[in-house]
Amino acid sequence: MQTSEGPRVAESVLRAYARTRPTLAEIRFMSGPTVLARPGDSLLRIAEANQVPLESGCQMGVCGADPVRILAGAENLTPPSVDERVALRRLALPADCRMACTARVRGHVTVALARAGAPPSTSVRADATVPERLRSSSRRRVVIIGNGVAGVTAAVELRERDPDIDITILGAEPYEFYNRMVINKLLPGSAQIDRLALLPSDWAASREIRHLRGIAARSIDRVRREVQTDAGDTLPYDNLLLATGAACDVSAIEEHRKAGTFVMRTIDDALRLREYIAERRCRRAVVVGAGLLGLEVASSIREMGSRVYVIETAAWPLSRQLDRTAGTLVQQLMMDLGIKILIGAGASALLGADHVEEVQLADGQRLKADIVLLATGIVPNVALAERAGLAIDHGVIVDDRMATSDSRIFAAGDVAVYRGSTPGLWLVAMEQARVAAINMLGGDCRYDARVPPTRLKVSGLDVLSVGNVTRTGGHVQQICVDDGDPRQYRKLFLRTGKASAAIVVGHQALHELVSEAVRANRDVSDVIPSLQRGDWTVLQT
Amino acid sequence: MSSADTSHTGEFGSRFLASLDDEDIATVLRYTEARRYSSGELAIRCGDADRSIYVVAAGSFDVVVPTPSGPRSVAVIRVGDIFGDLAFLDGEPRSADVRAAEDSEAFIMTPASFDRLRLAHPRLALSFLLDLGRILSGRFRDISRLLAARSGL
Repeated sequence: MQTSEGPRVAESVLRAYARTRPTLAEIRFMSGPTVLARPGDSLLRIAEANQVPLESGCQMGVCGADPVRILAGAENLTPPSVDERVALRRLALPADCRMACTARVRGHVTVALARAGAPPSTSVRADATVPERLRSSSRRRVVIIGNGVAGVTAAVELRERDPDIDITILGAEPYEFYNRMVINKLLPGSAQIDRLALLPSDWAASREIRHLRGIAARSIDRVRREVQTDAGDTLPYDNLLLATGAACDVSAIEEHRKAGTFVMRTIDDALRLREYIAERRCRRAVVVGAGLLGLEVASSIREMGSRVYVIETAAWPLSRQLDRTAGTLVQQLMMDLGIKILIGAGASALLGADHVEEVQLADGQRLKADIVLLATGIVPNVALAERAGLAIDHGVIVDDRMATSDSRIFAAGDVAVYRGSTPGLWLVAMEQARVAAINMLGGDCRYDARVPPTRLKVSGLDVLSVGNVTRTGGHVQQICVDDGDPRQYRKLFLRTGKASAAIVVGHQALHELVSEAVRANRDVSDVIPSLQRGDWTVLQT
Repeated sequence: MSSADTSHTGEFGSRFLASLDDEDIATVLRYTEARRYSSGELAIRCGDADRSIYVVAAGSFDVVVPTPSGPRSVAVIRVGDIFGDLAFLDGEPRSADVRAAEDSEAFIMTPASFDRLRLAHPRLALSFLLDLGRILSGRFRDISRLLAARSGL
């Protein structure tokens, strides 16, 4: 008696594959797999699905997390957007580079990881650098406090525009500038610390920027125009940029200091949470807040095998980015991933003796929890600015030139409040830093407070929001397409015939197209019938 | 009835995904990754923890297991054959190397893609799993019969 041969697939499946085969594009990763990809797929998606080690970031071509070199077939990729071209230039990458997230394939391409040749950094962590003796200089001096995206972007912009200026940047964290947008992926280990660096380790030295890591500013003397550091040094400045970022707003929860309560702002936050989950074998998590951060962290915790509840006081998740229909759809899609979002539910207390055991909701309901993650918004880190006597309203108040109440001091990123708002977004910080840098050099650049695109970075969900989607009214026209697919959704907002905002759930091939149309505030009044029929490729000009 | 018959026929059709119509098959295929392998390239490495399931679309692969006397080729997998199905279900490390015997192609369902299929098309994901389960129980019955025959029962 013979055992049957191994399992075989139906002939009809092989025939179906053979039919699609001619449409597939061969994407060859150097020293990696050769993938037969569907046209329209991004290089990032292809890499991630095929275990090519590439870290993702903003997924909009801006942050610089996923550069790749195109060794052949560059013409078989969708051309770079304005945002991507700016990022490629800012990162001073070789001319054959693209950002994998926004390069979509149309034919055969040969790809190499852009940083493959760089010496492997042992770790992003570095010991606090002892500042060199600061030579007196007649050069104009700019001091930047904070080495997150706002601080680093400003430093790079300043150097690009002025080769002579004296630039010092200090950051309290001991790490090189890193990709804060994906630190939650450190939890399940799908990202590694030494791949979170967004710039080569010599980014500051190669630009003659003095970079002090692990050193915080202690005080600002606005009369003498000096910054005192906690290492005992004095840094004189002609212009100062405050880029101290923000902390998680934990005011909503009393007793939040109980063991088992976490926030997610830094690499160390992520490492602490990961360790706690492993040590205590945590199986139940409650995330407070269903914004982008809350949902992204929830999905990472879920990936580690925990049961996850997300509680949200608003009527639907991502209420700043989505309308009710899209929010409710995302709630459903998250539920399918094993993440339950409780709507209209606020936490009123964390219960437990020496560590968190339960979360009590406002309605009295209790959820068992080994860990509680607070993702309830941000509080700008204003202590330094406050002591220096700058005008504060929640954050450091800036005008449209990013100047504070002291004309020599600028602020950008999560510490700044512009027209009463601190969006807490990476792209906002980048743009504000660019504006601040130009103005510090005597230019006159005004910040355009448009709402930049945001993507929900949860594996398996494609959610894009761009522009102000909460502003409605008679003069805002909405085009909402029903594709007959209950798992997809798209809506375009027009103001006087121009694309002003959009929400897209699913339809990932449309994301750059839609972002670009809104960014350019494109007049689409001629193509409204096509848009209404669902043909959004007309957004491309 | 021979064991081959029991595992290859049945009310749901004889082979993996045979019960699906062309539209359903096209949908399932959209959730797979297709890969090309040069002759000699490893598709699966013994000991690896990845959980993808593979279908050979072109060419052939050798299954090579480590033995005390060195690696030994134990099987050849050809067009239409499925491999990696056990780890897909139980997550155990791979028990053998699978190496392209010539320039070959395979399409692959990764656990992440399967999750997406499950999200978007629960009915198809269920068919996929039931079919896989049916094929595996067929093999299990074969082995049970073989063991029974060997022990003279």
